[in-house]
Amino acid sequence: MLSTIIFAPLVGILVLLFTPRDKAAFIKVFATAVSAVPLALTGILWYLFDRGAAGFQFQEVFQWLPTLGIKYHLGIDGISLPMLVLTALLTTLSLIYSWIIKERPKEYFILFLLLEIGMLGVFSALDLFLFYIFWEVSLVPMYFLIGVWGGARKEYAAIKFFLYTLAGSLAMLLSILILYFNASPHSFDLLELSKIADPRLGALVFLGFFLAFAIKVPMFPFHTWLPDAHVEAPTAGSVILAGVLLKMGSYGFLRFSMPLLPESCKYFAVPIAILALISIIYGAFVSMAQKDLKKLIAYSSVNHMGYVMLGIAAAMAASTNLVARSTAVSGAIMQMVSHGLITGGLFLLVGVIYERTHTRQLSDYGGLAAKVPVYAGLFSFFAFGSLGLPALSGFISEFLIFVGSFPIFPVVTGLALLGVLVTAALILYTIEKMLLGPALPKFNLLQDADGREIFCLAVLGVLILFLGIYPVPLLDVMGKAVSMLVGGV
Amino acid sequence: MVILIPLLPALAFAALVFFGWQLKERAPYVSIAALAGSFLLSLLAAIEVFQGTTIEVSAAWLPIVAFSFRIDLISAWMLLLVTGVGLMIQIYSIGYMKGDPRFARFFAYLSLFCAAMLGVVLANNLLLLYIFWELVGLGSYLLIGFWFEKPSAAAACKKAFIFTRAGDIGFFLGILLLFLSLGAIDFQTIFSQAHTLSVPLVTAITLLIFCGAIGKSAQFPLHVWLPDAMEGPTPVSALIHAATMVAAGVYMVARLFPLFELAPLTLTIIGYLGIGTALMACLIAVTQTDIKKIMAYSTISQLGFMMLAMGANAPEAGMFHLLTHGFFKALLFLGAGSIIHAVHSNEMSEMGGLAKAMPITFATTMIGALALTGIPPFSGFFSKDEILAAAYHNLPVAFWLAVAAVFLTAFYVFRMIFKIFPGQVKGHPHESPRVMTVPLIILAVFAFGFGFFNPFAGGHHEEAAPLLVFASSLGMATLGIFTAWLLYGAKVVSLAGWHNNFLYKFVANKFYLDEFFIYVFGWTATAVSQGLAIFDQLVIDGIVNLVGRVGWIFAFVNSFFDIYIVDGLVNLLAKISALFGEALRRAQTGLVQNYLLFVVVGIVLVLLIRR
Repeated sequence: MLSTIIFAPLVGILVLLFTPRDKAAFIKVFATAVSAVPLALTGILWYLFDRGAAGFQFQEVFQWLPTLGIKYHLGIDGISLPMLVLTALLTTLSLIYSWIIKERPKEYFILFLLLEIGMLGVFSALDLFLFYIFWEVSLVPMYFLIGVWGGARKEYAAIKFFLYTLAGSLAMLLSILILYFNASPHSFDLLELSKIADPRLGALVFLGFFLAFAIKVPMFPFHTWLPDAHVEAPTAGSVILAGVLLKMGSYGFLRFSMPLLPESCKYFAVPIAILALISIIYGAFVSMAQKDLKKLIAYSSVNHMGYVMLGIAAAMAASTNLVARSTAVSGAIMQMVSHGLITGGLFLLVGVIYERTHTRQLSDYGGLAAKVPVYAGLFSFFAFGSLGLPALSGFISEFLIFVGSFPIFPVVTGLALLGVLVTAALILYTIEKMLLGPALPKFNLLQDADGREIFCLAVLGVLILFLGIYPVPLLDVMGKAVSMLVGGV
Repeated sequence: MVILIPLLPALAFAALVFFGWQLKERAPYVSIAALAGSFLLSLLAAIEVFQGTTIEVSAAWLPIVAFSFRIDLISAWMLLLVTGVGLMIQIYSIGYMKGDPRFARFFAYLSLFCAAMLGVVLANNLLLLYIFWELVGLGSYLLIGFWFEKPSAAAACKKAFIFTRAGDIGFFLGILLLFLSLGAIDFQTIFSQAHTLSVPLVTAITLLIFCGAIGKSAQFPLHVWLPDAMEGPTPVSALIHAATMVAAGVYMVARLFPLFELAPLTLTIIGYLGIGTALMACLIAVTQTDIKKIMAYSTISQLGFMMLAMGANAPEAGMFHLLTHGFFKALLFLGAGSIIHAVHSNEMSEMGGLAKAMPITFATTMIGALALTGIPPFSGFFSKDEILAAAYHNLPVAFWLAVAAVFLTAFYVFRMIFKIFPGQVKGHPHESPRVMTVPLIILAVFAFGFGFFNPFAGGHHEEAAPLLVFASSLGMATLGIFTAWLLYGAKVVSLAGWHNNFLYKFVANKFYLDEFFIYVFGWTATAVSQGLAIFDQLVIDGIVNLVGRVGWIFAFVNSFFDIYIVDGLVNLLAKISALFGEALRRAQTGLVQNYLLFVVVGIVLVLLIRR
């Protein structure tokens, strides 16, 4: 099942390779249809998933390179399942949005499907070697998506994104190798490795993973690749970047750092909490100073992912308050989903207005609510989601993070609450600049959002609202995995 | 059934957002029908509650807290106030908002607000209360900014949201602290367990939670958003910024009173902050010329009175005043709206002689003014008197300040009355349509008569009001009206030159608090934000680029080494062999004779060496 999900896009890639490049319409529809296969199958997984069972489900194990102890080992739990659904959903929506791509559609859609393989693999792999391969597989297509279909400084942004992430990957590879040689017999298997309670050179291994994951999240001070990558990336690339790729970092902490290195986690929990706090406050303030809408949202992602890391840090901490720690980590996972939906939607919205006005400068906008009311309504909805308005998913996740982190890091959590105020100011300022104020004559001919755009955003919006009012289905799915994770540390 | 009370307006909101553009003028029917349904359900529930029961509904929700609603005596009265006044205001709005391009949208937002406000009233735990509390803020934001084309309205809605949210940070922190201390945030657990907590802890928790009330109920120093919020359409000011939302802070303290009661210090602070706010707002109201601004400061000061009641350990008196104020202030605002509708201005200088031109508006506004001033037997008198009695017993200093505030209240209200109603008619104003005047009349009935009936009478906090309280409050109110008449009615005393007074300017400029917030917090935030952005670009990203540059230089040096040393050695070898080749090439002449010569010479040499 998992292999089918991951490699379904490969079939599409093979077909597209043999499709003449002038059949653009077919390429677009076919690629989207192919991406719907993992979406449908992850939906079935969601239904079949046993909420009460501990451990990994739908496991697939084959000896791959037995002499080196490398296995093809897949499996999911309540932490990876929401990520798989999120990945499949955002990919399909991004592809639907990308029908407007005119330049080299064949290569674009092939790369996008390849990207999907990498992302789905990252969230299913239980063998560190396999994980590393999928991690790198997801890196290359994004490099090309930014470098070929990007904006004015696309080469700079693409190379910066690639090298920065690669530097982290190499540190992670080193950590993986240390773990591999620690185990006897040598193994890359997560389940085998997690039996070693306190591996040698644990702190070093932790830092190697930390570098890779912290760059990906990104945490202060490793975040500067993100605004550049977002500004230059095509709209759908930004959606995937913010919606899925960043989550690979926080997922890495949950999937590998915490089960493999419980002792180092306790040791590094406080520094990570402090970096998370800085990301929250700093991200919000720097975001407020941005003039480019995409940069503004990119920095707000630093702020929102800071909450995720605060929750993860609380879960890592050496505390016997299991309820608090599991609440914090539930909030963190939910925030990953929620941020994917909300920020994905915001980047789509920036794309929608950029297509029409060819500017992203806040100062060029004004009074849009009078001219394009549907667009303005949608933008306000997602912006308020980003602000953490109750009844939308971001509120529940932030609430759980705060409730969980407060008993463990009272001061850090209290200060992080100030970030909420700065975020509110930032979002309302953006709405005021873009949507409110007198209608500008230059926007007289501006088209409101069309059916395809409204469809993509409505799907996200419904989910955001549903999770904000009734988050129980999501919390149920992750429940067992969360208590295992916290109990196991 | 209870869940339907907030759900009906919520559904009306959804229906109007999606289909309002088709309904156009018929949109209000949807929202009014929904709210009328809520009103009837509230009435049924209230009848049940008045017979001595408490209604509770609960459903599993988050792991740490259930989704739970509760109707008891105070929430039943709040439900009736919100749905009743809300209904009047929605009907009035049909006339007031007629012809607005976003007519249907207005009723959608009003419905959203009503749904959230009913949620605040019904919530049975702090998380739900906080959730609806924030959604009420959203409704307020959308309605203040309803005419968002005006930059002032766009700025005002942002300001309202940010200032209330600043208070809510404290509120949220208080919830976290309470949850940490008790492990629960539902009201029943809080009330039954809170006495186990230490007094300093309860004081900290209650002060933090009260921060939320400071923001929402516009108490000093976060009150500055409320006067700006008058940018919204007048029915909005009446519903949200007078009768219901701004009272939510008072309601919250009353709701949590078993907790607040455990922290005497908090209560004292609330009491003095309340009366301080009331005095300050009265003073500013005296200097205003815009009738909606006068009403806004009046609301702030009346909310201060309600807070004083809380601080004086008399939540029943505060809630009583909340209800009477809800009626008479909604009435006053709608009256002001009726005038603005006719005169097309908020400024008192544009008004005059309106008593003749708009008799119904005049009569109903007079009832509201007398209730606000606290003249018996109008409703405000009874509720205010209870607050003063409680203050007299529990916070004596605050009592005398409150008496001063009563004088100022009477003065600023009748200053307004004398300026706009008597005298010569300016322009051609005429009375508002019936859809607006009928709600005025209904509200006037309540503003007049509601005081005869104190729904919370017999509460354990009640104490008899001594004659001194009655005499001083009535005396001060009368004196205030008389002073206003002297200055603005009979105009026997002139105030020429008074406006250049330094004190007057200080008050008229609202104690320069707006400037304080702009220069201290606004500028700091901007400076920090700009500074960090530059830091981010130059330092953090600079380091990244520097590493990249160093890598590039290293690669360059490397390639230099590669080209000139590594490759150079290879090339050197090649050169040497080429040299040999060159030398040897000369031997290859292509002439057979030469080759034969070489062979002969070679053989000779070999033979010579061998020998």
